[in-house]
Amino acid sequence: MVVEGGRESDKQYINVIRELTRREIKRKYARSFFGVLWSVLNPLLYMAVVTFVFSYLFSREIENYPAYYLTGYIIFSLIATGSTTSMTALKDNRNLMLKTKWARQTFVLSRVYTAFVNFLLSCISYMVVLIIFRVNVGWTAVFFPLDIFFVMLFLIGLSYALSIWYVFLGDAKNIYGTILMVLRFFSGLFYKVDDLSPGVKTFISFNPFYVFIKVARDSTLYGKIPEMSFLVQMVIWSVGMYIVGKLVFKYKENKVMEKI
Amino acid sequence: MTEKSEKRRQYMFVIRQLAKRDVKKGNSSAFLGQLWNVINPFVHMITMVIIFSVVFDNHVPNYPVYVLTGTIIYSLYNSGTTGAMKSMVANKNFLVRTRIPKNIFVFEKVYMAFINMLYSLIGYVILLIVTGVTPNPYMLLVPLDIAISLVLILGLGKILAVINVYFADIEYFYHILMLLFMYGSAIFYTMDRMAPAAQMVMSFNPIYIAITIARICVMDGYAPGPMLWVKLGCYAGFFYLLGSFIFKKGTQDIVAKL
Repeated sequence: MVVEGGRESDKQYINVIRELTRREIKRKYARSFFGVLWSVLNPLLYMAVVTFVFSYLFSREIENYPAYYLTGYIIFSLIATGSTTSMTALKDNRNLMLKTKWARQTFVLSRVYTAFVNFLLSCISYMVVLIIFRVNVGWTAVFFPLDIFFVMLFLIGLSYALSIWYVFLGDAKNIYGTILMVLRFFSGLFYKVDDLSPGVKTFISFNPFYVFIKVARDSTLYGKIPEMSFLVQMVIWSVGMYIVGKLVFKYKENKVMEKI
Repeated sequence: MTEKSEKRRQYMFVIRQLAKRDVKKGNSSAFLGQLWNVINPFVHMITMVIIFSVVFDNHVPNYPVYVLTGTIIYSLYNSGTTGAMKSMVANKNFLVRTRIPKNIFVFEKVYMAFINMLYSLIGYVILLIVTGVTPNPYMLLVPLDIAISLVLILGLGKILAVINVYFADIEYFYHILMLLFMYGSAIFYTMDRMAPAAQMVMSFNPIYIAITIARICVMDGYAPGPMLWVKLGCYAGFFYLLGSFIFKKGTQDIVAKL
């Protein structure tokens, strides 16, 4: 690879990612009046609408619904936006890739990093909601950052794989979009999974999105140590995905340039 | 007169060209291309049917058709108005350089949404056949429902497009608003689950009205009551006029603003 080991080049590498990310965020909010504030506001508005609909219109009874929904929403959004934007990273940056000698991962990682920055901003609203609704956050909340660490690992692996896939198959974007739409409904975002029939419930409990969300909810909202089976799944999904993504990227990376 | 129709033909040509470009942009390298417009609503419907028949424990006769009717019409409104909202800003270069009337760009986005809806109707018709819905003469009223809806969408789209030039954050607000409408249009549940007050409010929701008309025609097989048509017609007339007025006022010095 072009950028090789050593501290100096690592620093450079990170700088490039930061710079690309800054560009990305700027572009996203270029014309907007509230700008980056939207990253904080948006989750709150979503939460307000969904809470209104499900707890008032349909009177579903879930304890502390706003926080319940928001936990799922911010984690799902992190993975969904991170992976969708990463998917097109290689194709979008075609010119930069031809002109510069930056490592190709950079382009994917900068999209992931952008999503992560967005996530951190949405965590501000999350904390506000936790305080307002008086969620007793205990020591088990240490599992939350741990959970996010594994989410990121999963996301990076997924993004590597998707970005390569999209270079070789244009339909990949549609396929993944459809899969994501289905998974959104099967991630237990706005309903209680325990209410479902056993078949659907089993299916959902193997959905990585749900696994990450469940660990976050248990540890942060309910002050419980997450169930062992979910912790194990969390690690397997993320480490597995990271390895798969990394391998795909490594073996296909050089073919990408020909294809592009 | 002939000059006018000549002009109209030209505009139609421009709209088609722009639409073609949009289609290419969206699916440039997709092998299945337009087929995705058929697949997506279908998968969406199946997912909604599974989740909501389990979560909400719905007992609606022919729930798949019930849901798909709602999804298709909601999508028409959603993609039509959202596309129109972005039309002026997205075609900035065109707008500044050419002398094409500005509302062509709004038209084109609504046209696109309409074409996409036609694609999703393929899946819809198949579903009707599979679930054994018998054809009835009142189904012929559905195109009228769609036509009135398109007028309404056009009016709303014009308003949104102008606002977007001056206040870009409208995109975020509108997105949230449409989410509210998605849940508030009885797409996957029946009205009687809701409190009377909520039902009252919903009966004034134009998307809900358009969906209800279509469901009555297709599933129940009788002519929808005049009140529904009057309400929808009033919305369409009012917003079309308002939209045209705002558009005229708002676009006078729009080039400078862009």
